[in-house]
Amino acid sequence: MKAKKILASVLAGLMLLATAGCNNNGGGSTASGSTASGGSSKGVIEVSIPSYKTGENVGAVFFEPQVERFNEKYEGQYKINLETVPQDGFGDRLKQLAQQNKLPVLVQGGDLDWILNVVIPNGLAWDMTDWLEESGLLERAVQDSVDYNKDKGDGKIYTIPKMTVRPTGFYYNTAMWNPEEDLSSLTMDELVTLLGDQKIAFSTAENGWVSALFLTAFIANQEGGVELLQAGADEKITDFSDPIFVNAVASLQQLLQNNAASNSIGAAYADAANAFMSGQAAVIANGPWMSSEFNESNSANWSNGFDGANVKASLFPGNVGIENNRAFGEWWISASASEEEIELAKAFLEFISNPEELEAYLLAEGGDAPNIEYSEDFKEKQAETQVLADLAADTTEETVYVPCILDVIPNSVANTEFGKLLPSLANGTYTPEEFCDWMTQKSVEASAE
Amino acid sequence: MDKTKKILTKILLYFVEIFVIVVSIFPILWVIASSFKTNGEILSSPLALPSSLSFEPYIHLFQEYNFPVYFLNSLLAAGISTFVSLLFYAMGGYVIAKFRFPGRGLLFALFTVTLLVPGHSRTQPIFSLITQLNLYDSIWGVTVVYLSAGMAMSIFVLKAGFMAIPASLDEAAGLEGCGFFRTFWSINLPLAKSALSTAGILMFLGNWNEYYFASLLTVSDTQRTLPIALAFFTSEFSYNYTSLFAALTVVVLPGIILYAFAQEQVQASVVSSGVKG
Amino acid sequence: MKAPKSSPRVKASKMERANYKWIYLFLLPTVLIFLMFYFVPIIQVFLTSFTKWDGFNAPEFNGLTNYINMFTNSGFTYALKNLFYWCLVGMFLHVGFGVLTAFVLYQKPRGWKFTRMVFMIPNVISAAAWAMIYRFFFSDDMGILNSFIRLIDPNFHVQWFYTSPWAFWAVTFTWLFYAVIVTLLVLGDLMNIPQELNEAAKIDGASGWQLVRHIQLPLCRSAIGTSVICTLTSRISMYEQISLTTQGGPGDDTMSLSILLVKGITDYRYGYANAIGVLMFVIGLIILGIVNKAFRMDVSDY
Repeated sequence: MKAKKILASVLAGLMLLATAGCNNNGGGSTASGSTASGGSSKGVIEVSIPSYKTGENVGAVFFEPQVERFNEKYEGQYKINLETVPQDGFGDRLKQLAQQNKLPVLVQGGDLDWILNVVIPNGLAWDMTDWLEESGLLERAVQDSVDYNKDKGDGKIYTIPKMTVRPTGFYYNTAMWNPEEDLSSLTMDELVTLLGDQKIAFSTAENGWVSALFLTAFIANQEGGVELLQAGADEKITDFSDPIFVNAVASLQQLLQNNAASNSIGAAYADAANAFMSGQAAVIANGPWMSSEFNESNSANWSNGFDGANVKASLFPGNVGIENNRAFGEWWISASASEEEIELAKAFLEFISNPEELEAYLLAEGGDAPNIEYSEDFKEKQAETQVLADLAADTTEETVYVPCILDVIPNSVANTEFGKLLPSLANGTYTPEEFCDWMTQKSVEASAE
Repeated sequence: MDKTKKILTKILLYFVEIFVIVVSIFPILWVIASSFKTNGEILSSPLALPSSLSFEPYIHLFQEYNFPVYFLNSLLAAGISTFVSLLFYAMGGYVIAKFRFPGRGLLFALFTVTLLVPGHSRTQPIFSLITQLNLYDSIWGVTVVYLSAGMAMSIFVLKAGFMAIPASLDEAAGLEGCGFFRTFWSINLPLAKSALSTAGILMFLGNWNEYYFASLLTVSDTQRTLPIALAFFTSEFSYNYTSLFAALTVVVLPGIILYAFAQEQVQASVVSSGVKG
Repeated sequence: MKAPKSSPRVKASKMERANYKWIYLFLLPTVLIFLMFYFVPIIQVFLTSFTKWDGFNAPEFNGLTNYINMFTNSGFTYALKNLFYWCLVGMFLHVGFGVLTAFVLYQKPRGWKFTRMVFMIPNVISAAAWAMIYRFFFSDDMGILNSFIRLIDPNFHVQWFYTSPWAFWAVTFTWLFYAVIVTLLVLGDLMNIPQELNEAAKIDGASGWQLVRHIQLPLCRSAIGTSVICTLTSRISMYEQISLTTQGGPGDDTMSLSILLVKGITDYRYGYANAIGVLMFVIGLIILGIVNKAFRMDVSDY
């Protein structure tokens, strides 16, 4: 009987806690509920947008203050509240919201296949063609992205085309390796020779991102490789028997066996980044957004005498910059938004596409806006950041843009199969031919009817 | 001979005990220790103790995130759903264990295979149900979903628990004029405490750790549960091990402390009743 | 709920018939939860497994194509083989370890309460966090295991998660010893054994081992059966432990049905993914049936 009493009191205690919690939260939820509704009480149009570029995400450093700037500029007129949501599961959330017809006014991204097969055919996205033409935004846009939008949207544009290109190259630590050559004008073979026995940070777990970048560079540096990759942006590659792939994989295998940092096997991106930032590797391939990691403000993450000031950047040999320009832009507007909300969405998209904001973006995350005239101020500031200046110097008319191999193969192969097999390639269990056969087999299976 | 046997048994007992303690506790201690190291220390000497005690990452966590609210939300969602569903499943498990009626086998099979329903196929119906109930972005929506979470396991455990109670007790109760409900509530429920606590703990912990639906069904900070906070530290292109381990510690420790307290209470009652019974 | 019709197959006593009203009332909440949260998904999984479906647009009937794709998938036999071995490991080593621990704790050695408590800790930590911990544990460069081994053999380097045949065992070790559920279930049954029974056996001259073998173990039959079912169904649905460590690699060494299923979802092949779901379902039902029979779980001991 005593036992029963204890049990009862525990349960009662739980209930009490629960009701206390619910009072707390009841209050919280109504408060957030009232701000979240797209009400226009005092003439202010207010919306909430879920975004993963918030909180700890690398994108938050720039994006959160940008939304603040927007809210300041349009104070009394428009207000955007950012909802912090994890990146993991973000796409699922969008899919579910779409099915309930509850998409946020401004939608950030979404899987490519989902946009192609669900969003556009079902009219979930607002047609922004006319607005884009009238507002003059198209003049700033990257032409490839505009074309891609029109190709896939039956002549209409549903996502705001990319305004910037952010070619991915690689970074190197001059304290360990300081070549004098212009690396982007070499060939891959010359680069490898020049590297000698310097270490490269690779990731071979997750999707094998850092390794995939090198593989892409090896493919692009062969005759016909660029065309192969670019064609993949429209129709995914499922056949890897082409000698171009086999040779590229063989080169990657050499690199993995001779130059990989000691922690490369099984390394996630985090491990690779840490290898570079602790002086365990002289080279890491990654996008321009990594440039902010080399600021003094991030020195807490450096160790073993690593100094961000020593880092230089370059595009890949053959002037190859890895970036898929035949792609949708980051934002689109939900077709179910009210007119007022669309006003706000347009104002926001115009805001983030104006030259000052684009310049601020480029300074924060790197890249190039091919169709805007840079201000003097911008050029000065860009020159101050070594890696951004390096990349800007490499990004010219000559730059060859290719999409990353992971963007042009079926999703499941890109997400798991490629990375999964890299350890076996590195330790020699698989020959390049076997690796390519494997990729072909998995790709065919992944796209079976 | 008898003595050596006794000593051997003792050695075996303590060996198993120590092994269990080590495999259970070592990883979590390592995580906590790592949260006080710098990135470089974690990489270069994973086994060493931190060189200095820096609470920096924890201060950052508590400044940026509203952990007390997440904690309360987790407690609310996991606590209420466990309490309610435990009662429901006890009722279900009881009749399945003790009575024969048409549809018994079918229902039991259906209840237990719910464990194998793939999560993705539940996503859409549940999301639609929760939005129709107007519970999107509310911890109550999450609570409702958690009602269903431990169905298979609980029915199973509870059915077994009720079956272990002698039928003679029910018959005696019937002779003394106890109705159906009283036989269940006053005779069987108290005797099934061991099964109830096992099922309850399992459901509570499952819900405490649940990430997918909690993250799918809530957006605002005030409705967030602890596991979601952890997801922020594992997003793409993050590599800060120190803050990852700190977040892991902050998310995991409350669950352990809570369990330690609940365990004293719940299992003490179970054991005492068991010994007497 | 419809009013129950007496079925000829079920022999119900008069008293039980009188109780139908109560029985179905007691089942009502569970049935409601089932209908709300599981009924639609189950039906959907079965029906769409015969269609080509992207999860949003209308499904198109395509017969057995998904099933044929599933059976001919290069990872499929690995997944089945792994499931079989994991089931064996789960049934004998995992459940065995849990039962052993339960019997040890039943002897109430010093610190048994503490042990029982810390044993639960691994269950408080989510699977995702565990996988992360284990990646660090087994990592060659900075992991604990290899750091220890290198104290003895400085040149030791094995990538546990990324080399055949270790990967299978590395994944296995992420769950093998965490058998607290088994321990709690069995310990609960042990505690329920009337003391008189133990004492009577002792008076009859049964030694400690005989007591365990002939009295206590058989009386835990139902708890062990429940444990086996819990373990085996967890093996079928096990996902995070693999996806967050090896993703099924190296090659297809640690492939599982759940990984295949999620890959199907990634490629927007919901029909195909659901065909795998159906198979997992069927395997689960078969296991349920066998274990129920083997452990005579419908028979009460008292």
